[in-house]
Amino acid sequence: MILICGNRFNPVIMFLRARWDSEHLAYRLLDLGRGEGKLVVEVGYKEGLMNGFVGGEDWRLEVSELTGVFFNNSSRLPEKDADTSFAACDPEIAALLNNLPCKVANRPAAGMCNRSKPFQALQIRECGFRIPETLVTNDPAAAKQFCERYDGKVIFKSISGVKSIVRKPSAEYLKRLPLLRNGPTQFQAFIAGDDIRVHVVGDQCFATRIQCASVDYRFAWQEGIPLQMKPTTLSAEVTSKCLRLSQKLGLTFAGIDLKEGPVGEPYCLEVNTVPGFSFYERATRQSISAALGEFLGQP
Amino acid sequence: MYLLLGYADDALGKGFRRALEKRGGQLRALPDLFSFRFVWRLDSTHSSSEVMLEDGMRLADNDISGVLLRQRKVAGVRNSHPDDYNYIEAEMEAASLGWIWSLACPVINRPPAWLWYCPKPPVQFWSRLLWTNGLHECDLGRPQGRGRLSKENSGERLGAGDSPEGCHLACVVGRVVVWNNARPENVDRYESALIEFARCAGLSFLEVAMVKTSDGIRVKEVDPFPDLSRFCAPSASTITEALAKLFTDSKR
Repeated sequence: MILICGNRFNPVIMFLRARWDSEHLAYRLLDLGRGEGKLVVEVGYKEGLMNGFVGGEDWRLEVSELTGVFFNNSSRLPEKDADTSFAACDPEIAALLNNLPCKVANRPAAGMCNRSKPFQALQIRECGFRIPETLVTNDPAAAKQFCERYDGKVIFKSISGVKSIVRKPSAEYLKRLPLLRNGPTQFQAFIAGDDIRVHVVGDQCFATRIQCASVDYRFAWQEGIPLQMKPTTLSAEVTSKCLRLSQKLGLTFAGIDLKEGPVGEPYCLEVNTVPGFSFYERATRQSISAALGEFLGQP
Repeated sequence: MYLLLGYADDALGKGFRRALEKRGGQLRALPDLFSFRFVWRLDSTHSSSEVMLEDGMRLADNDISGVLLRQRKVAGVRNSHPDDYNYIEAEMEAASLGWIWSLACPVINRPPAWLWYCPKPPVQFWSRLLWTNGLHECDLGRPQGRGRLSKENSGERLGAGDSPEGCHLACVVGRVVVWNNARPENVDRYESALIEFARCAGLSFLEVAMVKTSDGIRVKEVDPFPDLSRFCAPSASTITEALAKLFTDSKR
């Protein structure tokens, strides 16, 4: 049996449930939404093996019955009303998911790697990927010099897991560089080219090519800029690197953001540990949710 | 030049400085990275950083022989609108974690991301790793309601000076275990298990509280960011000596 662990009103979970329901895939929902009834988690260890059960108000699943868990509980920074790219939950639920013997997409501990982009970048390049030239600084002079070095072809984005719109610094932004002294920002050389999102499910890769004139295609709709998405194939080498990277980060399900540069292999920008895969599956009909079901449903 | 990043004015900070200086090492303590000018450049093959300190000293990453990392705490969020505080704090923490991992020198401890953001997890977080290494955590009892543990089993920390009967505090420092006060009897098996547990966790320095139960000795707490506040002076001194030795004996 598969366990879905998250808020039942989470759009990705709603999408996944709809897909799995249409395929008559068996699963249970451990609803982490507030006020949604009683959750019961009672586990222990005997002779090195975890035992016990999880359950809701009217159901219960033994740990031994679980073949896989899908975990998605993206949190928000309340005062900025900003989404984060990592999942959060009670420490007890996190401990359960971190220790379950079955497959988990993804264990909370592994999911935390996306809370620091430069930390992740170091892991990414260890897997043989190129990463953009990056500057992390609170020094306005260093930031200005970086922008000048790349003739303004630079983007800036959040360092942490708080989602930000990737932008090129405008003339107005450059006037505000002295505010950097209040806190660091991440700048990167802009890579022109197609975006490729790779969803890794176990040992399978689903690659989607995104063609868009916007700097951040995720928010192209805000600028009224059109977006084209279609399935694409990866070279064996890039596929291998994607699988290696997911494994290195402890992820069984990952959304890897690649950028095709003018020449050579693509750059890897980031690994999403709570991938919003429904956005891509809707557009391309790639069977990511089916692959997830198959992966998590097999013992 | 060795660096202590975080709080330096407690038993650990002061003891470590004394022990390191006895070994000829020089220590600089910084509360955080962003009270100073911080520049870090990173690309596919290189990483270089520098911190410009308040006395004009320029500390490049190559100048650092080792870092003792204290618990995540951002001291310098200043001049920001209250709405921005949490965001700036998150940015500083993320940059700090990345920078720590970029260093070629020894860092004790160099935490994985989950430990950086959850520095004092309840003992259940360590369950699988403890069991793998022949250790057992305390039985935390039946959960209540939404799966929350009852308060008495929530893993509340023993207070400084507490010494409930059958409780033993120990620090793992590399391949050495230092017990608080006298070394208990018959702990050989537990010492080797603790050393292996720390190694598997990727940690060189951690504090463990163990208690005697009817089922045997159990791990009640694991603290990857010890502060030695619960250790007697002689034990704390032994620990900081071992820690300094770990740094000075390490090769880059």
